[in-house]
Amino acid sequence: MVALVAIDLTIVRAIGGSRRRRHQELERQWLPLLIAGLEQPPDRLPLLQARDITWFCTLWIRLHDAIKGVHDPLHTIAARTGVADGVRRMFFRKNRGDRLLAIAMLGRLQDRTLWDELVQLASDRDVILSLGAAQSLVRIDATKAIRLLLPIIATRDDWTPATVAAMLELAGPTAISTELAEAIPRTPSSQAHRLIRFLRLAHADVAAPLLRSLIRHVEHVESVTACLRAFTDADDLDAVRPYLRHPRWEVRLRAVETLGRLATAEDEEQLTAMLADREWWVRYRTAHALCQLFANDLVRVSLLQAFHPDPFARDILAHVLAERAA
Amino acid sequence: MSSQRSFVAIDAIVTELDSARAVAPPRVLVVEDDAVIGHLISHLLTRSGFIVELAADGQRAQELMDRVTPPTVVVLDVMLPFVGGFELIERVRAKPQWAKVPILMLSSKSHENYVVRAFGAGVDDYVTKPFRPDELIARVRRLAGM
Repeated sequence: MVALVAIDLTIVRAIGGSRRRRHQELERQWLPLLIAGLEQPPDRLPLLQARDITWFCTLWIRLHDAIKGVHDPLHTIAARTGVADGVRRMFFRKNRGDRLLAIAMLGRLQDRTLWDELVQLASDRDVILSLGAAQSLVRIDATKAIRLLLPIIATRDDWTPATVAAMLELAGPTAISTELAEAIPRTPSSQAHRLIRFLRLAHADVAAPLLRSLIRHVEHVESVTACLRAFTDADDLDAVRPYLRHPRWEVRLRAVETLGRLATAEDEEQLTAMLADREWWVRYRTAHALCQLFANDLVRVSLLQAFHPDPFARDILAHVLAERAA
Repeated sequence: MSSQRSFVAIDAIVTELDSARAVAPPRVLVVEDDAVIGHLISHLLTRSGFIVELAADGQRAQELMDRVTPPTVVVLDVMLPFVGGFELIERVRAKPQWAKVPILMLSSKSHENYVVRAFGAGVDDYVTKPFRPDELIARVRRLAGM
């Protein structure tokens, strides 16, 4: 039995070693060609064998994602290798890794042939596959993709906001602004916050009036906090300040954070009062907001710390000043 | 008389060294752990007339620092195995011969918040990944005084 296991291990190691050597050989062959091809497409390319397509795609994507503004030569080389046919076959394989690679490649190649399949996959229960498909759709046709994806984004709580934000940034403000503005009122109020929070990525002339209107009408706390986080202009502070007195601490917290980003000297008094909030997180963010407001005059914050009548306020200011000094 | 001849000889050597230095292509030390990006930068800089030494991690860069004369420019990734980018910046700045070598830092977009810290640590310029090849070359050339 032990001997059999040893033989198995030897075979596995031999296969692994042979594969590694093959990959090193391919890298030596293809990497200089791809890199040199960024300036001048090579006259001749080696034949890309079917068994090397997965490896080639990985290398091609790594190079593609390392640079910006000069992708056309890489597309030309990919077209000359005929890799797209292999990628389409790979898309239908059962192996999840192969499928993910195919999805990533389809997007970067801006290959529309499997558009419908990608749309279907964007609603898949598998988070990674669905997000991969959504990103590739955006790469292929941002405006069309965003129209299809916004209703999905509104329903999926397993897509992290950071990943969705990266996808919307990839699409760009022109592709998302009008679509977001039209999609939000159509979205059920319990899900609207999943779209509202991305208004900060939209063009300000579309996002700002919508946010001012939304914050007066939305009911769900998540939507209110999403509005507060999306404000990006000091002109909107009048819409933010009333929420410093909201009964829910999560809302007060977001209002204080927004003031931290946008506040002017006239907010000093309100922020100073917020240092005595009953919720620790609100006090903490308020202290940060004040440090941000007086970033060039921290002595003023130190004086505030020394003479504030509330002991909790003095405590939190000392804490945050120490954090900043560290 | 003989000492005068020696001075003349030394002068000649110094002049020769100066002219050699004037024509020698500028050297760039590239510290990048991603082999694809490392090769890409090497290729771009070599094509632009630089001599490139590539170190795949901070430890290898440190070994080169101990062994070779200072390059014209150092191009450095932030996230490096063994010795991180910031630690390497400190070591470069602490080494008298290397202290004034211009450093260009590469950071991925998600690490952009390191940029302020990097300038504080003494880097001279930074480029975020993904980068435009022509921009990278232009920035290295500027640091090299070309």
